[in-house]
Amino acid sequence: MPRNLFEISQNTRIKVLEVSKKANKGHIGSGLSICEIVVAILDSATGVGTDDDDRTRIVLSKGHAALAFYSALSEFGIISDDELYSYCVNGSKFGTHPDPIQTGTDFMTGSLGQGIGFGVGAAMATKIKNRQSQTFVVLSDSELNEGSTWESLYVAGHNNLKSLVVALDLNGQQAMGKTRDVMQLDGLPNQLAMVGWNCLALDGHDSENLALAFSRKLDDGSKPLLVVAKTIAGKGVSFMEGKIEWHYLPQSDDQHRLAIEEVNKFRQRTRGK
Amino acid sequence: MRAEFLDKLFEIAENDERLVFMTADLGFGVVEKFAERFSSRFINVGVAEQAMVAAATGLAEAGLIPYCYSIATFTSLRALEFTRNGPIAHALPVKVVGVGAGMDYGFDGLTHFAVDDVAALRAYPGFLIWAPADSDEVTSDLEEIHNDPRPVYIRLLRRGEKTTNQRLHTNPKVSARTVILSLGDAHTLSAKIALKLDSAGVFVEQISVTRIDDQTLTQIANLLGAVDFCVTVENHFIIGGLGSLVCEAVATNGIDTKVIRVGVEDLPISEYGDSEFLEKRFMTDIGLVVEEVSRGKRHK
Repeated sequence: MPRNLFEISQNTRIKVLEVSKKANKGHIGSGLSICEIVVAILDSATGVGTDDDDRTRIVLSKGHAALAFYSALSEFGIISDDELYSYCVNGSKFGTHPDPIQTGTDFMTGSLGQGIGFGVGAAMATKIKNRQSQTFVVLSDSELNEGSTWESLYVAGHNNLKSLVVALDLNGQQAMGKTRDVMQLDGLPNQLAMVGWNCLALDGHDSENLALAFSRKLDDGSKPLLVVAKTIAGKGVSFMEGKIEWHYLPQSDDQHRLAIEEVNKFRQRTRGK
Repeated sequence: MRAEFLDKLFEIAENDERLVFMTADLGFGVVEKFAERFSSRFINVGVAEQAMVAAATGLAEAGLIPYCYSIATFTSLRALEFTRNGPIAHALPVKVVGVGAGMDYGFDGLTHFAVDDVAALRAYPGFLIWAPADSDEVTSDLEEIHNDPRPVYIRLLRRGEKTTNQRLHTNPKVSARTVILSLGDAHTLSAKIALKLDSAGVFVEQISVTRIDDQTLTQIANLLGAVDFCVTVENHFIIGGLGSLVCEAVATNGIDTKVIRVGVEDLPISEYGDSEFLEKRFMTDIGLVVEEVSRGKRHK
């Protein structure tokens, strides 16, 4: 039976809010931005959390959004809720950025512009070893500022690493402001299409459609795939949406209560449709 | 040394399908044989050292053994953070290969001089720096290095002279009160100093340091127990390389050995020349070193 990706995404969103509140940590806006993306990836993935060499590799190149990934891992039963709620507790395996010590995480990220390269290597290994496994990379739009991101994108296209799928979290925000104000980077799909990529532009909060793309039902699978996923930083909580400060701030008690209420109301409304 | 390295690598690749050779668009004239024989395991990533080391991390995670080949400054320094957060953080057997140790690239200048690579990479626990002293060592040891599960930086000269020096990591015993420790290819400069000391009537033994890892500090301390003078010689800045390592071993173990460092002292810019010229211009004056040791004086 197909999973209800909408419900799982909302559960993931609630967990991001609850766990970050418990830990009194920020990076909430980035996490809320990618809930549907990581849920759709996990829906398409196989063997995550096992040692199977043919398992799907997932690289959260935007490592600062790790809490959304951990939350989704717990929704898919790959890590326990106890592990998830150990987030940022002294001695925990779960800090604010991914570490391969964690079940379900293969690569350490946190330095922008590196994870995409790890993913390119994983996809190279698939080609060399004739594996079936796919590699997913969740890339932040701010990582397009890093030259090393472009090195890796070109290497993937040139080597036709068709098992590689990059989900670009296009939320238009980065640490110091709107992406368009910090660094003008329009035209990405066209640029990559010219160097050996298939490119799709999708609603980054439509988990069902993302899952179709990630299972390669929306392209011919002959090239690496870039999914430009248009998202909203802070998605689901009106006072966080599109606000730079929610890259940094932890929630107050009142803010947390309102945030949870909003996500649940949205869930109810959508269920009623 | 580079040719022997690639020959041996070719031989290992014949028997080990895990070996993948990556280059950041260098090796013209020396890597073609490998590329033709093992086309699926030869990857030129273009001039992109960071992407090369990052991708190598992904390859190694899948059980492959990638070699990342370029000029030493580019693999060791340009890609440093990728080596740190990739193979080192993940404890994966990526081989970062740097050709052109020290000022091997002569007239090419500072951009091509790996005089700070050891300083940059020496800090990491669980990491190995292999600076083979000569081509014989490359041939005899590469298989062992290949099978070492740690990430490694391989520091090579393009060419180089041979040596019969004992190597520190084999825990040699010395009877001389004066010892010269040389890093990798610097045994040639060590031999020059030894000859001068010999002429001055100082009995000296030479040891090559060709591997730096978590054990090296202890190995140095064990060696220097009864040594009065230790001259360190390296084609590297005197700060951060072998000389610094020996000073750490001496200081932290309370050993009564005077350390005299020979290495690159000035930033090698603005004057160009061959290796001999550069050695005289930018490295420690070995005449003064010999004088100091032979007089048995201590600095300061």
